[in-house]
Amino acid sequence: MYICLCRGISNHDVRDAVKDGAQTAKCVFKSCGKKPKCGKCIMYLSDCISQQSSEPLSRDLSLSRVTL
Amino acid sequence: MQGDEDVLDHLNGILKNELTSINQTFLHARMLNNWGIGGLGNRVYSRSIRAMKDADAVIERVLFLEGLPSMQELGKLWIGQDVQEIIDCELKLEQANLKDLRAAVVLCEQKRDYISRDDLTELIENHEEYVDWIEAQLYQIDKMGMQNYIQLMSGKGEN
Ligand code: FES
Repeated sequence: MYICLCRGISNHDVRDAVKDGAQTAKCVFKSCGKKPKCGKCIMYLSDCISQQSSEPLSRDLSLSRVTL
Repeated sequence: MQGDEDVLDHLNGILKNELTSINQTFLHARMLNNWGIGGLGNRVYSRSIRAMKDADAVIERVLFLEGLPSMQELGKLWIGQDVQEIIDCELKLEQANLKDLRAAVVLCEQKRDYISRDDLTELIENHEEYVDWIEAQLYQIDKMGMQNYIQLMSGKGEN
């Protein structure tokens, strides 16, 4: 699932970035080699980062826990 | 006719949800067609058009109540990367929209705006129908497996 639509960053990309030590949305962008555009995704990225850091990724879990 | 301020706020909130829904669903429909899963793409496309008509009804009601439809706001789009994710994202968005719609209906009832309440009730019916369809797809995927389901739904998009 795409978390950042402007830059095409998915929950899988966030998982990889967290594995590489990213702890903030800014770090995730950096680790993907991209720059934020509209900024709408920042809070969802942060949510996703905290989920990924606290427990191993499961697709259903990551989706159900992201607040709509 | 001047409408109630709270009702107008809620109607604009529903409009924002519908505009979000149009965009998310339309993109999903086009992605599915692009992957050659036109059977599914067609159904999702028709939901997008339905959402457009629903948005139109809300816009007309807001204008009738002498409010200004807020066309500028758009919620976060949840875009899946495969069929399962697309269905999950659609379901999540619909459930959130239904929650807002029900709250808006309760408010309209309290404010005795029965016409807005009826308009929104019709929207609930459309959303529930789509949720029911999504749940049927999840059931089929569970029973026949994703590969068979995709095969069943594959084909050229009609729209
Ligand atoms: S959605 Fe991430 S920058 Fe726009």
